[in-house]
Amino acid sequence: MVFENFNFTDLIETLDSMGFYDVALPFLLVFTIFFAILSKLSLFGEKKNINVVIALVFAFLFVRVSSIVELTNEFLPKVSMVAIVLISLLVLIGIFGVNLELKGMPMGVAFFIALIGVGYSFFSSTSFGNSLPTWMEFSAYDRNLFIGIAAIVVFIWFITGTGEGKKSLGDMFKDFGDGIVSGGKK
Amino acid sequence: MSETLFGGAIVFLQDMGFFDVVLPFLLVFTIFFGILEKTKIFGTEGKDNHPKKNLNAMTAFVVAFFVLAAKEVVAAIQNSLPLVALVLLAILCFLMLIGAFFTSKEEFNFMEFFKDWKAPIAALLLLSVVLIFIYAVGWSGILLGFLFPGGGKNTDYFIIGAFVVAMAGIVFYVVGGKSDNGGDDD
Repeated sequence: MVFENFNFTDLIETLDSMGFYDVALPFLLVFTIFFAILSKLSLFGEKKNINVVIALVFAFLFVRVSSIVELTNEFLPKVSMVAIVLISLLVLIGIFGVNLELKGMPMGVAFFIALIGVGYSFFSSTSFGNSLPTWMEFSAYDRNLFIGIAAIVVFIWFITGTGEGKKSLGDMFKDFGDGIVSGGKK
Repeated sequence: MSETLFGGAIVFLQDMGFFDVVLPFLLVFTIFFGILEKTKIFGTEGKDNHPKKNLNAMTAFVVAFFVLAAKEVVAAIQNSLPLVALVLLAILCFLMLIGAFFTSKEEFNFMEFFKDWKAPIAALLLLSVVLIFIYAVGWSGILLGFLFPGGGKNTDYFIIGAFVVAMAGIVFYVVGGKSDNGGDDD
């Protein structure tokens, strides 16, 4: 049997040892994205060869910087994980027969979840947090300052609010989502 | 990187000067040639009004060689383009996560949803690209030194910044506010 000793784990390890994940995949990804965007934008007219060369250059320069490739290798699986979690969530919601239309509150929630998902994936993958410049270090003093400012803002908002048309968190997401869908026009 | 097959290829190309000479040359040449072909600055020839390819090619060729001679520019290109690609990757992931909520059979057009958000998004992207190039050129230290003299150990800068933002917010809120009676403010 040809496939008697075949093992997918070994295949992945072989590809890893070849540098498939460190060079070939990031190269393909960046090349494809840039080529697709350049083709869509038509910056240079309909000339495909110009788009190919620019995408190639971007891809080569990308794979050369190992720190960015490592970041990408950590970042993308995390985004995929977030996407799988979201899809699972939608499947679970779908069990109850809820039809999620992407407008209003779902749109607002989707926007924030996507933003938080990408932000979490990116910043947990980078070493930025470990080597922050001194002026960006978050001390206990800064934390207290933030809490103080937030408390003052909430206090002012609470005092100056008329009480009429007070909105719940869900309404705020709904307004935000409606604003996105309607382009800010009400 | 050199211990893997693909990594070895990258190191080999690096040793050849592929990243320092060939890629920057190709990029600048292609961009200049593409723009000259599209804009037809040097006029056209023939019955079909083809752009003057030889003039365009020669101009792009010379400009690309001049760029190669400027080592700082080449270094800036090498440092900035991978970061631009990384930002693009993050944006793409964000779109994919939002797209996970999109259940319609039609094409998901982000800009259709975010009609009035075009200007803020464009401003944010412009700012990120400007910051990337400031970093790539090596001016980030100068800029941070200017903004936060003395290494920014002093949190007064944060307080001043927060105060300015708060004042701007209040002014915007007061000036941009509409009167409750629906008539003129005066």
